[in-house]
Order: sequence, then structure tokens, then C-alpha cells
Amino acid sequence: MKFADFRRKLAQYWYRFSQNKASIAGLIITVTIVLVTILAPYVTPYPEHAGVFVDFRNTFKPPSSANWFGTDQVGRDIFTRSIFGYRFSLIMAGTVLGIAVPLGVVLGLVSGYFGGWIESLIMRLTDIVLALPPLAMAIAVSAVLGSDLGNTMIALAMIWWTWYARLVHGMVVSLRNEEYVEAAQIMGASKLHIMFREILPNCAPAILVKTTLDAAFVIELSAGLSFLGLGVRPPEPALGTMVAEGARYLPANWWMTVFPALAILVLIFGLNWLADGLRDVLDVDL
Amino acid sequence: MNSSEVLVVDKLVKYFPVKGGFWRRAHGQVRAVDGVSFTVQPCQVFGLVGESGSGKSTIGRLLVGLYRPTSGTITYRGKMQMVFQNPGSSLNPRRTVGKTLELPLRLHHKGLTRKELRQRVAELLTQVELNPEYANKLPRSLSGGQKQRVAIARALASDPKFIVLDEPTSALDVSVQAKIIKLILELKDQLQLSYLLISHDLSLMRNVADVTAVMYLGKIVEIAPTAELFANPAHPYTQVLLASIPVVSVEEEALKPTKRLVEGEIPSPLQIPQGCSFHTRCPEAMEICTRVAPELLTINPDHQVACHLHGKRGES
Ligand SMILES: Nc1ncnc2c1ncn2[C@@H]1O[C@H](COP(=O)(O)OP(=O)(O)O)[C@@H](O)[C@H]1O
Ligand SMILES: [Mg+2]
Repeated sequence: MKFADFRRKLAQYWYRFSQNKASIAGLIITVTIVLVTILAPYVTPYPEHAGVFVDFRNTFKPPSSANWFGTDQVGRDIFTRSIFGYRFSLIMAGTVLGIAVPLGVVLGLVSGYFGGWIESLIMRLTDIVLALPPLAMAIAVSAVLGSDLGNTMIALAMIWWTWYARLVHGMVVSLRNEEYVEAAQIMGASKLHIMFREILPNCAPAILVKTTLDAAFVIELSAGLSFLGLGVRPPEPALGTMVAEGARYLPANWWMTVFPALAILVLIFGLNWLADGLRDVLDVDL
Repeated sequence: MNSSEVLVVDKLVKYFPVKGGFWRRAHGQVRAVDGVSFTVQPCQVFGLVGESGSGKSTIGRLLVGLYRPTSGTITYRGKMQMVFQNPGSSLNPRRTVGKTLELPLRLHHKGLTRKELRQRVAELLTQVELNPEYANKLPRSLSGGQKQRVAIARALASDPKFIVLDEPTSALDVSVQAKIIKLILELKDQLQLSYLLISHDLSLMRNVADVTAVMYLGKIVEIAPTAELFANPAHPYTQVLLASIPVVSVEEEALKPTKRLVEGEIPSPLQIPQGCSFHTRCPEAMEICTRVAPELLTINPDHQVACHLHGKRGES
């Protein structure tokens, strides 16, 4: 594609995306949070507060210009800890979806394209896994394997692939009889080529939109898990853990709960709005 | 296989199992193609006409290997390609025209460099009278006729000797149809191709096909050189079909056979009538037709028909 064509196409996409103000807000929020989180040690006012740190002169300080979100029971800056808390959220979403999406997509492609007993096997397996409530499953796995971060992520990924397998399977079943797929078969293209080059690109927009939505969902869920004390343990900050700890000091020290909770909400809304924008641009019907 | 023929189809049969119910067990079978034989000569356009559901596309798909025959054999020389009916779905919406054309080039001419590939793509586009710049376009931005040209270029990319054209123009505007047909015929002469042309459009057949076979419920009921078939249709079904072609002039109207179909729908290929499968709609059905399926008989050199009206003549 020539550069001018490419720019025109990009401009078209941007126009459709920007028709919806919320999707621009979603894009800005998501990109900002990701950047700030990556640069957390450099952009936060008190990076040393992220870990074990005690400053008894500054406990329970309400929000001020020195501590935008106030301080906690051992004097740590809640703003700094919230930013570091995003790390946990993003690592969680990235790892869970980084395992679940490729796994689900490949299994969905294989089952949809090959059909027969392979399809029956994979789809029955997704039925079984989907019949289990995700939070209960995550708690159960954490209870068995121990509630460390890695195990929690594995537990979530082991559930999450099923939605992608179903989504992709459904699309492949309708795409595999398209005449362009048959044309590729006639020409002698390999099954791998047909699955990954002919069919998968047509599923990609839907996968992208769902992944964005699910990033919000995983973050919400992992906040829930850390609120319940599963997943991370203090002193590493997780927004859910901070909310849970802060709740012990309500209502007097409300900032300890409210700001971490808002931080989670902002990211979740941002991702949802971004997904809406992508849905419009990519013409996806999920 | 005789030395001159490019394609020999012998007693080809394709049944599709019909599945249903809780256990998805086979309930019965669709007899889509039921014992079809024919041969195609080099540079010949072999036409296949018949109503929708008569098994034309299934024969095309069997030829290119998309389906496996239930029984019977297909023998051919060189490579076989196919152009589909619907230009909308025969090109991948996410791949550029160039990418679409590169695939067969890569598969059939291994070891081409990027530059050679690009050059071959440009040649192919020129061959189907498209601007080589189209290599960068996505199918979305092409018209139906342009898409069909790309589909033809894709079929040509692997240097086939034989192309199945499954209703190549029926999804296009009338004005575009003529141009595509002209292109297809020019390419045939240039590249020494043979075609299986599938269509339900009899006027197209009359103008394009060298030999025409008429299908009804999975069987060829009549087959003859096109001029002969149109001049002397022998099967009542062929006569009925010809009667349905719109005519231009009064003189032509007078020349037309005037048979009418007996009331009734085309039977389901799931339950093909006993005896001659056409007897339920045939204006000349006799008692024997309900019991005995007629064989294809030669009534003139190169003209064969499967009908008891002619069978009796053959016996006496
Ligand atoms: N893949 C398939 N599975 C089951 N039945 C099929 C399949 N393809 C075609 N058929 C059936 O075979 C018969 C002939 O179809 P087709 O060859 O498409 O006819 P035509 O191209 O002449 O309209 C139809 O009854 C059709 O429903
Ligand atoms: Mg057809």
C-alpha cells in the first residue's frame, strides 16, 4: 500500500473513531494510564512508598498538595501506591489475556476448521469450563495451589480461553465455506495458511474488541480477588487490597478507600469506551 | 483417456448424507449427482444447464476436488481451476488483490523473488484488463465485474488447462456480463483453455458453449453440440426449457417449440421419483416412464438423449 493511501485510510478510521467522544476519552485514559504505569518509578512523587515503608509522622493525612490522595495508616502516599497498583492490574490483564487469547483463538480456529470429533471435544470442554462461575473457579484454584499471583493468573487464563474459543469457533464455522477459502483449497494452500492467513484476519477485529473489553473485566475481577485477599499480598500495592485495607478506616479516613476505588473505575471505564470506539471503527458486532 | 480429450468424467456420483435429529444420524441422502458421464476436448466450452438444484455446482466442485465423489472417476490433464458465482465472497475481504494473486503464484512457481512476484501479478492484472495499480486495492473498493476479473486472474495464476466457470456472470449487471464473457472467450483462445461453463442462462449457452448438456435432478438428460441442441431439442425437458427463453422477434417466436411444463414443483433431490425422474412434470409422460429410468441413447451423431420417446424408436 502506498503511503498516501495508508494515510487516507488512517484518516478515515480516525474520523469514525472520533465521532464518539467517549471513545477518544477511552483512548486517552488507557494510553495515559499505561504510560504512567510503565514510568511509575520516575513519575510518582514517592516511589519508595510502593514497598515496605513507614513514616509515622505522616499517617492518615487527608488529601493535600503534598499527598494528592492522602496517606495511609503507615504514612505512605496513596497516589504513588495507586499508580503502582495499576502495575498489578495491567500485569494481571496482560498475562491472563496473553495466555487465554492465543490459546482460545487457536483452539477455536482448529475446532471450527477441522470439525468432526476435534470440534466436539474442544466445544464440550468449553461448555464444561463455562459452566463454572469464574470467581468461584479462581478462588478454588487459589485455595488448592496457594494464593500467589502466578496461580491466580493461571486460574483465570484457564477459564478465559473458552470465550475466545467459542467466539472464534462461531466465526470460523460461517467463514470456512466462503468461496475464498475454497479457492485457496483448490490452489493447494496448506491448512495452516487457510486458518491463519485467510480466516483469522477476518476474525481479528472481533477478537481485538473483545480483548479490550475483557482487559477491563479481568482488572475488575482481579481487584475483586485482591479485595478478598487472594493474589497479591502487602506490601506490594494492588488497588483491590488498598480498598480492602482502607475500608477498615472508614468513614473518617475515606480517601484511603475512595481514591484506589476511583483509580480502578477510571481504567475500567477507559477500556470500555476504547472498546466501543474500536467496535465502531472495525464494524464489529459482538 | 483418449489422447485428444482434456477431461473425461465417467459415471460420476455424489450423494450427500442428510443429518438431523438429536444424534445427527444420517436420515437419507441427497442424490446431487447421479451417474454423470461426459468428455471435454481441448479448447472446448462445455456447457452445463439446468434448474437450480440440479447438481451443476456439485459437478464443478467434484472436478476441482472440493468434494470427493461417492463413486465414478474424473480424469484430466494439467491443472484445474474454478471461478465462482459470487464475486462478493470469492475474494478475501482482508487481503489485497496483489496478495490474493500471489498465493497461487507462490504455490505453483516456487522460488519467485518478490520482484518477480510483483511483476507476474501486474501481468495477470493486465491480462484480465485491469490496471496493475489494482494490486494494492482491497476487494471492497472494486465493482462486481472487477472482482470477477480478479477471480479470473487468480484462476489463471497457476497456469491451468481447464477452468470450471460456475455461473461466472449471473451475479453481474447485464452490461458487465457481456464484457466478462468476451474476456473469458479471448483468454480461452490465447491460452488454449477448456471450460466447463455452468449456467441456467440458455441464451448465454447458445452464444458461448460448443457442447451443451442439460441436467435434471443430478442426471444429464440430453447432450449435443449446442447448435444441434437448440435446433432439434429431443428431450421434453429441453423443449420446455427452450420455450422459456425470452425471444426478440416475431419470426423467432414462430420457430420456438411451444411445450409447456405439467403443473408442479421440481421434486426434492431427497426423494427423486421412480422411473424417469422427470415423469412427474413431463407433458408426454407414458406408463413406462413411471417404472423404468431411460438410458442415454444416441439419436444423431454426438446427440444423446435419455427419454423413452426416443428409446422406442431405438428398439424397433
Ligand atoms: N455440501 C452439500 N451438502 C448437502 N447437500 C448439498 C451440498 N451441496 C449441494 N447440495 C445439494 O445438492 C443438490 C444440488 O446442488 P447444486 O449442485 O448446488 O445445484 P445447482 O448448482 O445446479 O443449483 C441440491 O439439492 C443441494 O441442496
Ligand atoms: Mg449452483
